[in-house]
Amino acid sequence: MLLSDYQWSGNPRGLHITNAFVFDQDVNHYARLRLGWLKLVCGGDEFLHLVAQLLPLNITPIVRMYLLNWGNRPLNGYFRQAYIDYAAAGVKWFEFYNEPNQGVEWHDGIEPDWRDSGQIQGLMDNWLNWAEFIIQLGGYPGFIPLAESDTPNLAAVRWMDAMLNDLANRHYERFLNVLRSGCYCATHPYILNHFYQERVGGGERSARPPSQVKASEGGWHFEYPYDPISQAHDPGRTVLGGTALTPYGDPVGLLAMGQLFNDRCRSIWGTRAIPVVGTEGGIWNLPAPDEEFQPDTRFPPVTNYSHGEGTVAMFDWIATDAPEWMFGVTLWKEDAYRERGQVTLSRLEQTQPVRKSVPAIPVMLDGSEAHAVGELLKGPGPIHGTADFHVVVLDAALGEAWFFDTAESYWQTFKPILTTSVAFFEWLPYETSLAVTFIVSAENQAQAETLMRQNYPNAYVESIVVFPDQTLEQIATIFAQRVATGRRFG
Amino acid sequence: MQTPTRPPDFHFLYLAPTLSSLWLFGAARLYWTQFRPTVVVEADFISLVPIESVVAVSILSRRDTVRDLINSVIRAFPTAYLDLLTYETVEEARTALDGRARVNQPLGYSFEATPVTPTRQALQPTPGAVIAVTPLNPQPGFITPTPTPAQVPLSPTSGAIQGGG
Repeated sequence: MLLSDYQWSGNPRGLHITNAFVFDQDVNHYARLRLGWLKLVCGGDEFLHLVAQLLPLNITPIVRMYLLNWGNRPLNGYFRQAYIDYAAAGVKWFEFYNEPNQGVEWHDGIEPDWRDSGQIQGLMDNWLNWAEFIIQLGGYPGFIPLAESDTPNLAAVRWMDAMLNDLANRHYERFLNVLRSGCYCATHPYILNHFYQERVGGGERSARPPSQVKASEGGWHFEYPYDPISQAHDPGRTVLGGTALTPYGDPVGLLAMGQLFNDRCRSIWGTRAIPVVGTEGGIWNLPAPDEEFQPDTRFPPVTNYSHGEGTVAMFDWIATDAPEWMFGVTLWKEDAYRERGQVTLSRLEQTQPVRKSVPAIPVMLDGSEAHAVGELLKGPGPIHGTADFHVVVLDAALGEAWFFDTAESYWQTFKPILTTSVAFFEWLPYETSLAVTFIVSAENQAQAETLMRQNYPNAYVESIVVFPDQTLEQIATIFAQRVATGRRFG
Repeated sequence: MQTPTRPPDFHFLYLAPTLSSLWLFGAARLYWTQFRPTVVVEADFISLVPIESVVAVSILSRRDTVRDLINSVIRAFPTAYLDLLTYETVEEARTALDGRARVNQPLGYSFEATPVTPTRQALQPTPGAVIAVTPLNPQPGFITPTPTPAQVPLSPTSGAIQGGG
């Protein structure tokens, strides 16, 4: 695969939408801003119509499903369906997990920590399964974006290393194939005021005051922490740290985490260039017209005016000066810009984006190609150990007594799903497995079992048959024996 | 999340896994007989239903576990209508569920009389990047009593910037 094979607008400008479940997007507004990317956070399939409008405008959608306190849970059926729908609508760029180095993304009070191998291994196992699924859909799976933290247990650079090292140790070949097959790295470069524009004739460490910056002029620096000011202040600082002041790295730069990802993948898997898209970020915070912010006093403050100039310059810089793998940023986020970023939005409307020329170089140093991935298979899949779902299907022709008067201790012990419908089985993905216990009348037994055998050959199927002369006590005895012997199935 | 104005395509009865069989076999028997919901004790199965479906999940639990069950349904099927059956005793649950069966209201209200609610509400993301030592706190959950529409505070989070001076 070549770096130029990735399908996108070629325009680094992006915006993150306000919310999931918003139905009043003005696609013309996005066109007026001359966007190349639009980041969508979806609760379901609500943005399918928007995708259809964006693609003809050469605005590339990036889809992440909203996952409530997901931690390192695997993909579920609902979101799996949504990814399939968005891929069918033409979306190529996808994300799954979001900032697992933040507690808000976990559940049950779990404190995220890169030193917890259980957290990391769960993330990598489930992310890799998801990534291969996205590749099967013809999409590009985004490697997990991290919050730009340098708090010890949340440190982004440590998390990145922990995740990649785990993949190298346990899933080397599979991740290699993902890298060859369309993987990209999603980052969240909220760059604070880590940028500046040189004064004319002032030298590389001179910085214009915010009122004098101009996007249309040269001398911009977005390479933090490798820029002259940062290096003069703390020589040798890198994204990984490397100085006494940065024991847990310094990830707060436009390229930082993308640089780290590419460096690591190059040294471990032999990649040459893997695309990076900032799927949240930009110059942040966004000051109101009468405000300025200067979280890092080594760099000039940011005003409402300089935010606009800086943002236009940042996108142009990505196109012209950033490494070939840096494809853009989607600004966090639409409502904030509508509220207090009108100057910046106006500047985006007024200026033509600079398109990035992506070289036709292999993503792998040795030019090796991916192994083909199979198509999505119909589920349920084979049972490995215990089935994921055990369903008791009560023949709708039988009265409820055949379950409620016979199987209380059985249900108490094994807690199977109870239904009268087999419709659910149609939607089981191949990655899940199924066992079915029919409580079925003698006249319907053959039909039920044939249906299962023909349509779901991987499912385990058993029948408890109710013959015309059968009593409730006899069926209850069957269930009671199973409970007594601890056997879910006969 | 929208209040169904017709019987849902799929109706689940989601029992808290800590409840004894009495809650199903004693309290919910008549209810199940009348409405035949699919009974689950985990939410994963709910996520398999086609996402364009109208899904209602009746959550039968005690108050101490209802929040966890709500969150698990939101994760499984964010647009599901949440019908909370929160009781402290089997007897209370039976009284309520038998009552629904008698008046033929699986979700506790008459479909004919249900006013149409607005479309699904926008999810409000958490604030943008912050400079803080500690990560952002999770949004609090919520409880919506039956039969008012359940709203789901789904919120994408921004990237917390911590340090990096």
